[in-house]
Amino acid sequence: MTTEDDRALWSQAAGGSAHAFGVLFDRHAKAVYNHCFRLTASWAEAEDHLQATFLLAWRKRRDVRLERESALPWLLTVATNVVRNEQRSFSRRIKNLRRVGEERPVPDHSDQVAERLDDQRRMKELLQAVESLPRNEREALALCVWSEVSYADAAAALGITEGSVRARVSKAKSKLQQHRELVHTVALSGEDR
Amino acid sequence: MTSMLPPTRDLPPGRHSQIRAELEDAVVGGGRRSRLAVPILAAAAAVTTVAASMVMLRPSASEPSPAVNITTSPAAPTSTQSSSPTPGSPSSPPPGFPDPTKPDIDIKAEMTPAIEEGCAKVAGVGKATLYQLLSAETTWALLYTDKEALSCDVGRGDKNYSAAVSQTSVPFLPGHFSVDVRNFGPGGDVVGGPSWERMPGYRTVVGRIGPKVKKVTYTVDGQTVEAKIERGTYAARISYPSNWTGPNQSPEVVRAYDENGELLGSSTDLENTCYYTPNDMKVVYGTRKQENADCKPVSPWR
Repeated sequence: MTTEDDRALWSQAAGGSAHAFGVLFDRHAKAVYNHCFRLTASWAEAEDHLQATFLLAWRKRRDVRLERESALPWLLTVATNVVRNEQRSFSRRIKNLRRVGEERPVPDHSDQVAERLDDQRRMKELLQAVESLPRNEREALALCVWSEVSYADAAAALGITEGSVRARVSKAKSKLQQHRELVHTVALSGEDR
Repeated sequence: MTSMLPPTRDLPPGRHSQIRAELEDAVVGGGRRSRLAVPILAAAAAVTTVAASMVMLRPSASEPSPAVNITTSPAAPTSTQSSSPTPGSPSSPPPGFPDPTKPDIDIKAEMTPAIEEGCAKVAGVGKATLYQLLSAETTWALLYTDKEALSCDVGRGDKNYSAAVSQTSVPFLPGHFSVDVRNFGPGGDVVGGPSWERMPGYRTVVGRIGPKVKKVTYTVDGQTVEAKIERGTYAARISYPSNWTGPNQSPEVVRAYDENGELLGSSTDLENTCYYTPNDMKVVYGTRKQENADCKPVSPWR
């Protein structure tokens, strides 16, 4: 089954197969997890958003027909919406409060913990820098540049034209010229495809 | 500011499998709910802007009630298969449930509330009514809510209940019959674990029928089985070897016949047609992109 492309697995999941859905999760969890981190600057929140994204994908499995080989662009789009809506919600505060007394067991690997804390600090700085961008440009940047989804795949997932995706990314890059660090980041993280 | 985007990272050790297990619990159930399931479900329900056609989650199961009595006569075998699958040795069913390895199954009426509650709970739907209880190599049930169909395994592997759910327009039929749920379960050797050892895999189709339909067949992978018809519904299952991983893209066809054996329609017909409700012209079956003028009116069910 693992050799099947996502469309076959998605079709099986739409038929009610949790097993096929689990294979899709195995394939794309890491990419969705990292995408959510880049939108939140929090590895812990990224875990929660990862789970919410796949749960929502399961709920929507009958409404979505994959046109392309990979489900990842669509999953990243769902994740973007999950993060956006969660950030709007008061439930985020409630969940943060709940989390205070609910530490997950984490192996005592000091180096890994330090690296992840450093990731979060750096990502928070980057997000503050792109905060001035319109939401659609910011999300296009995260999808196409940071998560390296092609313009064509992003267009299909977002339901807009490829030209519109290119325009959003281009505008974002243009506006970020004043932030040398971010321009550098963009240059290192993604090439025009 | 450090200019580089932080590197991609794996999930923390153990979290991948933990989240996967919690997702499986949430989507197919397993008699337990994860500590994260409720808040995550709530979060998912809050995401209303993703797509207009999103399936929204409803509260968990309401109190079950015995909406239908299952008689004490044994359930008829689900199907008469034209070729023999490789049967497995299912694990023991939950206490109080029939042993599917025994040929004569005594289905007691008092099981109905437990099955209705258990299946609805794992599916995350409201009150469900049991329409059929069947036994092939394992026990499974067909249930309906007011807008969902459930194909529910009872005591398969280490799960008390697991269900495939589909939203459908329950009051109406697209012609003579509907195809409400198609799902499959991989063989137990693929799932792994002692409870699943040698458990056969399966493909299932369930739906509803109108008064003219007297026989329904299900054809896939070169096998044709006759569905069990009861209370305006049909249910068919084909078994596979325990090492079966799941279906490839082989076509599956459901056919409905009248009392004279005349073909009334097939699932292929349904896939190419749309149906609307006459009172509000809402397309409830088939593609919603077609113009209503090209669609047909639905028929009432029961």
